[in-house]
Amino acid sequence: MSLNDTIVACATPAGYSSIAVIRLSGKQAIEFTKKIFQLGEKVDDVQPHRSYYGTIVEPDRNKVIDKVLTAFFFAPHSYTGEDVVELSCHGNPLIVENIINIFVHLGARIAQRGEFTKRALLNGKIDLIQAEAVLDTVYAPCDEARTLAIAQYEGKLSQKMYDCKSKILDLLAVIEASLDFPEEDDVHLDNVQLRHDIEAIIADIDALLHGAEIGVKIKEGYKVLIMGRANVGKSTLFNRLLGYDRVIVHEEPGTTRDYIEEGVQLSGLLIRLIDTAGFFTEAQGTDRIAQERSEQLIEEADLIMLMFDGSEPMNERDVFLYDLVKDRTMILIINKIDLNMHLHESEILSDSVKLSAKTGQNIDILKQTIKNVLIPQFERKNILLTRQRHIDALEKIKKYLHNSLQAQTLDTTAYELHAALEIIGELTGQVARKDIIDKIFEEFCIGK
Amino acid sequence: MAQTAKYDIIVIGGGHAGIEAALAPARMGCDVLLLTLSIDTIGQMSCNPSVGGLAKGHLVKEVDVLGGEIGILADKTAVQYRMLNRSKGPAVWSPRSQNDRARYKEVARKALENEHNIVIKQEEACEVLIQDGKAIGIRTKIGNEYRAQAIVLTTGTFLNGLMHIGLNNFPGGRLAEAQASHLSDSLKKLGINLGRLKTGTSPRIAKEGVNVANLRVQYGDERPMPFSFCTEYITQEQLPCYITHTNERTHEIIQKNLDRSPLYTGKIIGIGPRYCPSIETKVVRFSDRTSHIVFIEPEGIDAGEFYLNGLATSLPCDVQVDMLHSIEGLEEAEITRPGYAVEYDFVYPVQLGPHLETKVVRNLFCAGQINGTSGYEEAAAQGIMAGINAALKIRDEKPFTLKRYEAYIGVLIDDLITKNTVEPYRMFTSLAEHRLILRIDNVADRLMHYGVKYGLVDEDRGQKFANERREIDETIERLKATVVKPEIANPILREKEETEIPQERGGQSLFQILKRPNINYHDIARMNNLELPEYIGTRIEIEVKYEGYIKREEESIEKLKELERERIPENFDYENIRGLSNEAKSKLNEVRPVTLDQASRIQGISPSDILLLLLHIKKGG
Repeated sequence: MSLNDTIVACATPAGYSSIAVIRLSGKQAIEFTKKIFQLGEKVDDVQPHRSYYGTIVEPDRNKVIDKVLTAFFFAPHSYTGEDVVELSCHGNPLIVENIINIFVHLGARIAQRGEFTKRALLNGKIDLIQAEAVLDTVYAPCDEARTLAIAQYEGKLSQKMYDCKSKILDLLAVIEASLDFPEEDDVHLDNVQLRHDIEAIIADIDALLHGAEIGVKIKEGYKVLIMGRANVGKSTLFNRLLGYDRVIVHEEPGTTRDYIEEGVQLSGLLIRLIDTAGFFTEAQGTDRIAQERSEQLIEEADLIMLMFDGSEPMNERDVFLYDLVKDRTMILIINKIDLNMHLHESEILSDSVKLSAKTGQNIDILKQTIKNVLIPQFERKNILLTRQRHIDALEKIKKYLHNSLQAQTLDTTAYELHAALEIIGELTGQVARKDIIDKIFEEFCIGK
Repeated sequence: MAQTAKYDIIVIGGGHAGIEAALAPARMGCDVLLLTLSIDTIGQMSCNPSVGGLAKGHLVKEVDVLGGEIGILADKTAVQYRMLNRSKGPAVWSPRSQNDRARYKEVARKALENEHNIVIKQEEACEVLIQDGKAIGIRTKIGNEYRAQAIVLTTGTFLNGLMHIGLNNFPGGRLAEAQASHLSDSLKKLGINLGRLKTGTSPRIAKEGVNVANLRVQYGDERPMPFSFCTEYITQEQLPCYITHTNERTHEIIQKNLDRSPLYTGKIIGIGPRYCPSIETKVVRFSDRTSHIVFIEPEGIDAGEFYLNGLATSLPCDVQVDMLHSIEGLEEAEITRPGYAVEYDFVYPVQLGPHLETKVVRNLFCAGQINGTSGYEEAAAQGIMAGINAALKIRDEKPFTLKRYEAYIGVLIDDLITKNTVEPYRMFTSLAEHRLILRIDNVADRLMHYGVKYGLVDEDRGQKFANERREIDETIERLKATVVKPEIANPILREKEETEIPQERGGQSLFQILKRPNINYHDIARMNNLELPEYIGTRIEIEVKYEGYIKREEESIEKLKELERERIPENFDYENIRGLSNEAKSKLNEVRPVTLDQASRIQGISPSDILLLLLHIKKGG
């Protein structure tokens, strides 16, 4: 890869659409465009940050390709920090291919995966965390994930890391002065204060790490298990939450033998909803393999929704299932409130959600409850980490800071603090690590 | 035409750089001519009568194990030893000595005179003679021409030296010594860029008239640790220093007379040392401070003078007197030699390659203060490196460089040639990113093999070191293999406030026990009736306690070596790299780094610049 040439790619998905956007970046982006773009209006020269309507004409044959809208961005005030042209043509793959071919003929090169963002990074427009956030913004699977990605793209996480860095640098300034000027009487190192300051930085990092678990889940999705004895209405609720009939529902108990998993967005969260169906029912019997898989399902679930049939009194099976999951994060649901209630309101059911999966009554309450249980309000401000790379880095930083507290001598305290700084640098991309950057950009789609 | 004699190497200047630059090639078998303005001031300590200190002590020990002289000279003349930073960790332990100024000069000159491959002549070098872009000799002021295959310039503060005391200034390189003006012109003609720096020194006072009765006395260490591997015992008398402080009255005198200071009236244009500022600079810059420390240091055993460390000044004489008289203990002090500032020309060191050879003139080397450094130790370190490389060059052998993770010398030279100092450069431990492995206890492990390789360390010394190393390794193995029972270890652990070994554990290895923070080598010895000399005990203790850090450092050095392997082609064209700022391009063109690793240390070069370079170099330029 080189930054010398001009790159081109279609920034919108392949296939037919009303418009498609072709993007060019590099020092010849404007020159190339001018060669094939005939302005509809009369202007002396194109201005930056303006759109122009005109025609794309094949240079040699004078053949009109399409009517397009073209926007010009001049370096360094563009996404990549280079001259950029964004050209909106009609969304026909033939047109897109035609235009890109013309640009390639003129000397542009088809962009590699993520190359536009990589250029933005290399030109110092964004840091590494922000580059990752671009990717996450494009692929966010749910509203909450998108909100997080945008916060990172705006630099909220980067800023936290820069703050952390500058705090460590402040400490190092004092420590290094104490090491290098032992005889100056104005260099005083307050060990108690130093300890206190390092502990404060650790607390900041802990808060971020604490929110990371949620952050990663928001991106990857939560596993939510629907449990309950046979015929309690699990599949009906499953279909209700999905918004379509994914599972065939029968009056006959134990209709669904295996478990079924589907992704769905609920209250802005990506949920991997699992209908345990035939699992945990009497029909499962003593099948050992099925037994083990059931236990594993419970183990992996982020949330368990245990359903009871409101139209029937509680039986032994209900109690058995309750005992099985009572220590897990869970929501109790009393279904079939559209029927006559026969379930006795006992202690354990007092904070349950009462609904009808069949009519959809109170489903919205359930959705809101799911969100509140998964993301407690007080955690919200610390949710900024979404990637394992971030978590690994913060864990390392924390480890080095802890080491620095335990260091026996000041030279090693300094060493640990420097080690922590190094990791912050790698996290934000201020310490050049080609392997890390290459790995990140492998994930990108072309044109971004 | 006057006499034309031929040598292998000519060294210009007999200061701390010149001594090493002459001795090293002479010991390697080269014929060396040392030209100096004054034979009587060879080895002069122009500033503090002391050697070593923070990071500088490391440099002295490194030069010593390479086979240099500064450690031996310091040991022969030391009147006080102090190990600084004892409590802050072995990596920053820094030895320092107070020295007998007159004796130092004497033994330095003797060391040169005793080396039969060195000829010393008192003549002013005026012109570097050049043929086909290569230095071939020197023309002196009295018209003599000396030919040589390589020249080493170690001119210190003497190039166009201008002395300042108050608003008076006069040409000179040190108090009452001439300066060299023609050589600067010669260098400029060769296309070498010269800058201007300033340094200062403190007044010296008569011993009598100083009242030390109420001052804090600072004695040296009870058991002094010599600098040199060759020194077995310190026999000369040891002397104390005294500590006093400036006060508000002193500062008032200084403030009132700033209009007579060459520093604050624009007379001095050279940039001074930020970390070793004059007292007037300290008073102005830290105006909220009401006091600064002053060390009253002995000039020597028989000397009748004290040196006032911390009072470097170029204020007029009468102000210096008033200032001193305002300070406790110095009320009656008589100035014997006033403090002064000196401005001098220096070679922007970015014009040098990693072997301290100038890029524009082949076989011309520069070392010491001429490269913008301050300090005897920095000078000596460059001196020996330039000397060795001059000898290697004329023998057509592979040049000698030290990496940043091998030695402070490596850090020093890399900083100079990469970062282009614009103020006097002083060594600090914080400049060494691999500080934890650049310790004084392992200095011989790191560097002595080079000294042996170049024939600068004799076999006896090499053997002595090898024996010690073996003894240490064997002892460490024994510590790992020896498990002591709780009943033996626990009483000592209890005494040292360490957690005891549980009875059911059966025991712990001495190695593991020694890793504990409160346990030292003596404690271990008590558990196992080991007996070893103190210095080996300390080295073992450090190696055991630092084991984890050493491993981590080694890992990070391995990573670094990958970047080091990314060599930048010699004629690499930076202009073609799109995305590099003009600033980055001009810096890279100026320094012309050899490796990506070096490029990454150039100021103003960002990580993304390095990535760009990496991408382009991989592509084949």
